[in-house]
Amino acid sequence: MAACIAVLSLSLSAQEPGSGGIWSPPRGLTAETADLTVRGLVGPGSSVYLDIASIRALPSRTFTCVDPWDNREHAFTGVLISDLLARLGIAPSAVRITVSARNKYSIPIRRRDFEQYEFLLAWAVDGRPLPENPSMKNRSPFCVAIDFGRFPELDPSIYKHQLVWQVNDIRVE
Amino acid sequence: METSPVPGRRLRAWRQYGFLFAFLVLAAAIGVLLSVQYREISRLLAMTEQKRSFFEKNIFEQSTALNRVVFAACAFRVAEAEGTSGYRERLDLGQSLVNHARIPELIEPDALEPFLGEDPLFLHERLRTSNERYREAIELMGRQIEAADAAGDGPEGRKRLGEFSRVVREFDESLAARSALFSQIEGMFYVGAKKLHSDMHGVLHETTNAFLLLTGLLAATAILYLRSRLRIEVELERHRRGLEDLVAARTDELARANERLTGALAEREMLVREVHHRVKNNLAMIGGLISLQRREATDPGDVGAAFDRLAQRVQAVAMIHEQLYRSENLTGVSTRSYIGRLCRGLVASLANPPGSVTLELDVRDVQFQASVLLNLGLVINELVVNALKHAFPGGRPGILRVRLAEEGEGYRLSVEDDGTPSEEASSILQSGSMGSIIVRGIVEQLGGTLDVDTSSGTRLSIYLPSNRGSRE
Repeated sequence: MAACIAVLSLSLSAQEPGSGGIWSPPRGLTAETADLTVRGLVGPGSSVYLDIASIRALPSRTFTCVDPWDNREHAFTGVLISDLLARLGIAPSAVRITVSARNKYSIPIRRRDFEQYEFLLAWAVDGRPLPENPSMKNRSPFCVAIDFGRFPELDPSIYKHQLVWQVNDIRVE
Repeated sequence: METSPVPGRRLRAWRQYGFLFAFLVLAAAIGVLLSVQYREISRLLAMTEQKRSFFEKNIFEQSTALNRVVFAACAFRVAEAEGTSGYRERLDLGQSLVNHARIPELIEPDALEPFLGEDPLFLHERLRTSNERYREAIELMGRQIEAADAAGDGPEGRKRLGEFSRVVREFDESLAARSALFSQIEGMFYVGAKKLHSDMHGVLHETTNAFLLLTGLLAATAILYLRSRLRIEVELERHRRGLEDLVAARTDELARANERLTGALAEREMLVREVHHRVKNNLAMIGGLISLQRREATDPGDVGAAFDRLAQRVQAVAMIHEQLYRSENLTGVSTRSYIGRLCRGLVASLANPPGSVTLELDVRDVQFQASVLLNLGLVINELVVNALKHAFPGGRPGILRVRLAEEGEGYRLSVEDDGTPSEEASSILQSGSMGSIIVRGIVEQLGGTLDVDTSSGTRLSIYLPSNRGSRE
């Protein structure tokens, strides 16, 4: 019995990224070196440190819609926030996340909103990764993207405030 | 003339009621719809007004006030960064900041509640937190600036001012977040206003559609109703014309029947008058006969015989009336039957012995006016009675012949017998006896001529011209 569990946990931890299930973040990152810190996953004090590469390695998706901030159509490529958190092991009791930016802006997002409406943590816009995109420098390295075209019930003038630029912190509550 | 069957008429009546009912129901539905939608729109407008006024009074005011606080904080920090301002100046700027920060009356999150809807941005909670921090911050800053002021320009004062500075920095950062929060709240209001507008448009659109639909149905019902009424009217018209024709035909019939009746009445009146006239004449004649008989009755012993004679003469008159009464059209009497009965009656009562006299009748059934026939009856009465009394004395059998036939332009009446010629008969033309007078008088009245022929038996004949005697 114990041997089975041991084997199971070993196989889980050794899983390749992208094959589903709990995913192990890269090692060796700290609060200063991480590009994205995810806190409160399993308890108030816990922190997970991620970098751009590890997030880019996750299965991504792309959608195109009109961005409410510049009223132009863009293609956003990134990982589903719900997917990322699921892989990191979000507690079932969590009801919301607070996304913060490098410029100290922060906003809460309901769990059912980002899950149901498939909010994206985008790392590339119009096919170019954010840090390499000169016109998108303000959003680098990550920004939240919502597919308003696919979900017309979401009013962009409200939900645009949740399209956080320069995302560097996600706190799970 | 056909009349519509009753079931069809009843069905039509129900259909009429059906149409009217549908019409009323639709009209009521329109009324209800309009009133409901009116209430809905009123409600939405009231909400819009509420929102707008809340927004203007609270949100906008606070945003503006917040901006001033931001400016004041900025001014303080700039002065600090530049380092050119003195202690007093910075203290004044700090005091000014605190004063500005105290101005806005903070909106309570609960006041926002009705306008927030689902609140995916957690505005309610964040405003509460922000308000708390804001109050704490200005309280702290207030205390610190007072302390710095009290301490005056010196190491203590500067230390206090330094602490104040730090708090201002933190406060400034929180102001950025608070500004963002307020702009999000404002956004919520604009969104709400837009939603309200689209809601109202939706309601108006719905109302218009429903109204058009109901009005269409109403119009359709009205048209169907009018059409049905039109058909009824047409049918009614048809029936009315049919009835009119019927009535006209009946009226015609009635008019004709009326005419006939009037004619018949007039005829009857005339007849009645004629009867009265005749009765008057006959009574006058009888009166005359009585007077005549009375003149003749010189011998008191012969009264019985005189009355008998009178009775016979009156009987001859009465028989006419009897025949008239019996005849069908009350105006014509059968000459043949009258003369026949008269003669047979006389022979039966006066022939002595009975059956000794054979009566031979040869009477054409000429149509005479009753008055003429009456007179002829009287004449025949006289002539036949004379013959019966004097032509067959001693019971001698004989033949009595009475003839009436057409002769030329008129008629000839003859009474002949094969008996003994009598003084009476042969002297009829001059005799003063009542009978002779009567006969002569009547013949003259009728415009005829009297002949006596005693060559074989006795033959008395009267010729009557046709235009005086016969019925036209």
